[in-house]
Amino acid sequence: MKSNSVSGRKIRIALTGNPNSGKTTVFNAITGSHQHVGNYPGVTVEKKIGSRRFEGNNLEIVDLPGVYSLTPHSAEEVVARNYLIEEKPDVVIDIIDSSSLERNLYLAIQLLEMGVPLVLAFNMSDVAVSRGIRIDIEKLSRLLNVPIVPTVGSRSRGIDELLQTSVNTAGNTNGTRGLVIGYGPEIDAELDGLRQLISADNGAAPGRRRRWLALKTLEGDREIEKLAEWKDVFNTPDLRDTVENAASRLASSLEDSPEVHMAESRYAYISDIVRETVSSAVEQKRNMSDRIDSIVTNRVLGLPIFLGLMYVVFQLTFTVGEPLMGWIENLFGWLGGLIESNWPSDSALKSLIEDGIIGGVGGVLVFLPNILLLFLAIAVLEDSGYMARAAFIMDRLMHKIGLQGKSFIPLLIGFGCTIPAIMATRTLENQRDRLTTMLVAPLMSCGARLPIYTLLIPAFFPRPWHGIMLWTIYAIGIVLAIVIAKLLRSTALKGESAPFVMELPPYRMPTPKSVLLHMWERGRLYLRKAGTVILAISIILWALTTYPQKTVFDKDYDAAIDRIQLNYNAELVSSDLNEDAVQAFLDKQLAAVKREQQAEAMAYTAAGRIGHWIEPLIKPMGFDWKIGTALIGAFAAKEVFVAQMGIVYAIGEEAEEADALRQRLQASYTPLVAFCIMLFCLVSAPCMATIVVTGRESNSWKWALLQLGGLTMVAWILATAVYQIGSIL
Amino acid sequence: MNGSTEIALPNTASSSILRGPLPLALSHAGESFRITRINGSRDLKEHLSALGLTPGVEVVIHCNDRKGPVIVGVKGSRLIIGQDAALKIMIE
Repeated sequence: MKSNSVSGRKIRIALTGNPNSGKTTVFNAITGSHQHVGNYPGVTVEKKIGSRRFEGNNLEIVDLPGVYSLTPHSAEEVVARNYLIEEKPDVVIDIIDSSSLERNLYLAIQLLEMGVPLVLAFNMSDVAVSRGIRIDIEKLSRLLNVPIVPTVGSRSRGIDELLQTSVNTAGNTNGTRGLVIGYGPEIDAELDGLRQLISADNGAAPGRRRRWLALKTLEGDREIEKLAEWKDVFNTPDLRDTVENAASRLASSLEDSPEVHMAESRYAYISDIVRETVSSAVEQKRNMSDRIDSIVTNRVLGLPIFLGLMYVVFQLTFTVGEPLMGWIENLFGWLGGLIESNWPSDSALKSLIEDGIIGGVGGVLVFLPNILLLFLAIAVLEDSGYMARAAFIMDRLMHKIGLQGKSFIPLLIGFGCTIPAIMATRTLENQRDRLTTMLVAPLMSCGARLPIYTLLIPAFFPRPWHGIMLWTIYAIGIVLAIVIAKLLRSTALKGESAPFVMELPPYRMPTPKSVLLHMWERGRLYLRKAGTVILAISIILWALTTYPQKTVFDKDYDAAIDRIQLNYNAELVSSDLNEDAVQAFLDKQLAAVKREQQAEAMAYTAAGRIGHWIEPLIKPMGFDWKIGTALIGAFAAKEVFVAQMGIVYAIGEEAEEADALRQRLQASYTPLVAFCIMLFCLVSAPCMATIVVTGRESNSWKWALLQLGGLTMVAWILATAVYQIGSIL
Repeated sequence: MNGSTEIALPNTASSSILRGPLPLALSHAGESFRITRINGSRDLKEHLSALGLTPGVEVVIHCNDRKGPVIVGVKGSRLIIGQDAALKIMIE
């Protein structure tokens, strides 16, 4: 190994590895906070890039998507493979789960065949050791002709050694002829023929690549041809003919497609090597993982345990979240008060900051603890390995709806925020499964709708009913999701489900660091939404609800207020009621007058007018124009509904007094209407941000609009039906 | 005694006598099998092959209640295989 100790080198490192191999943990251990996320052009696969200084070198590290193989069956695999070919990183690190060696080596073998400068990181080596797996790393390294470094990513062990080895290997392409595996007489013959043809045609493909190219072509890899580098190579008619002939010869002489046979050969090769270098203690039949599983995946106990766990998770987020939420609420209240007292003049800017920004964005951030707690719980379940068991248990039920076990995790995330939920559908390979899951994900009542429920439920329903009402709303969401999913899968998205094949990792003790990291990965999407979309919308809505300002009123409110004041003074002198009672009476009267004035002002504003305009549409549901304006705001982001209601009912005053708002609402509406509002908000179009994400992830605006229109229509029909029927009863 | 012989057929309902290929979905937990062939689409076969499931490979059945997905041990680690796919993987 040549060691280049010239300092100040810029080295580009690519991280690959199976999903679940701890790749992300190693990436974080290497880069710390010096990382950012982007997108690969044209696809919705996340691109994570980080940087690190090491021994005077500047390392740029790209975390490629987790893949099992480099054959282009999924977007992730294509992205990973193309990056390696087109970007030609200086060195590739393959993160390997040492406790699942053979399957993880499948990717490594393919990388070796590609001939890229490679280092293998045998991660989770602590788990392997504890399971009695002993790997002769030196021998393995010799046999494969690749450096191997044992690591424990979750404890940042072996990272420096890994980086040192990588730096030494970087750019070292001489001598790597690329691993050559025998694929059996039929395939090898065709390979040779193809390879000679490729080298004969042009020098574009360097030596070690020719065999690999021939391999890919035989596999039936169509993506290879699209890469600019090799367009010329593949454009020759001779090559095309030869490939076709080879393919048909193989089709008749082989039982399965070439790719399957190649997989067999690769695994056989791996098997041989592993036999020589790995010794595992006789697998204890009843180790801890198994014992837990026998209970958790038990036919009878599995589902109740799962439901129980879900219940605990939700209870946790609500109960632990509440004091935290209160804390944030107070913070914003204090902030508002600070501005009120230090900003004497009643200017538009002040109102904007107080009502618009603090009111709007504050309303969103209050629910951050709740959402983060949910994501934390999910991260713990995922990292410990339980999620795979949950998917296993849910698979049967999900099948009845037309989905599969893997759809379950995105739906669970949807209870926090729909945006990361939709992104989580990436693990579903089947487009139909994925689309269906994306379209019903918004029905998992997200954290943003919670403010609406916590505002309305205590206002309209007696205490003992609070819990039940909340669960009812959530349950309705779930039931509707089931119905709609079934409907979609039997009509527009009809077809076979993808085969449900998923790795079942052994149980692991999640580390606080990785759990918090995973929680943050999803949580920051919610925050980003708050910081951008909701902030912008809050400002727009504030403008809509303030302007145009009415200066000349129909009724002379100032005169009315003066009159009431006079009455008060008179009462104070003449009556024998105590001062407090008179004061209370006065306050009530003043409030009533002020409200009237606000209503008039509101009706005059843009928002008010829109609300009036759509009133006929929403009247069948029992809504009035005030709710209408709030719903318009809610389209931007659900949380805004509450802020909007606050503004509609109390412009110019502190709108954080939720109880005051509840009282006013109670005065204006019935419980039935409140229920219909919640129902409508639950089902109708998800916030704008969600629609955008759906459009991006599904690569088609058709589906995003269907999500928007379809759900709103269902919401309308449902709320109308409930209101009409409810009014009759 | 007449010229015909009666052939007594083995009781094929008992899986312990069954020698022919059996789909993974019908296997019993706790036993080991070898994959003989995989039916189904090319996509499915290629998808499974990347995870190590190809003809000739040995699998251990860890969990199978015949009503849902199967948990198998292959190549030293475990996979959950849904019923649809499990019906297409033939073992013996």
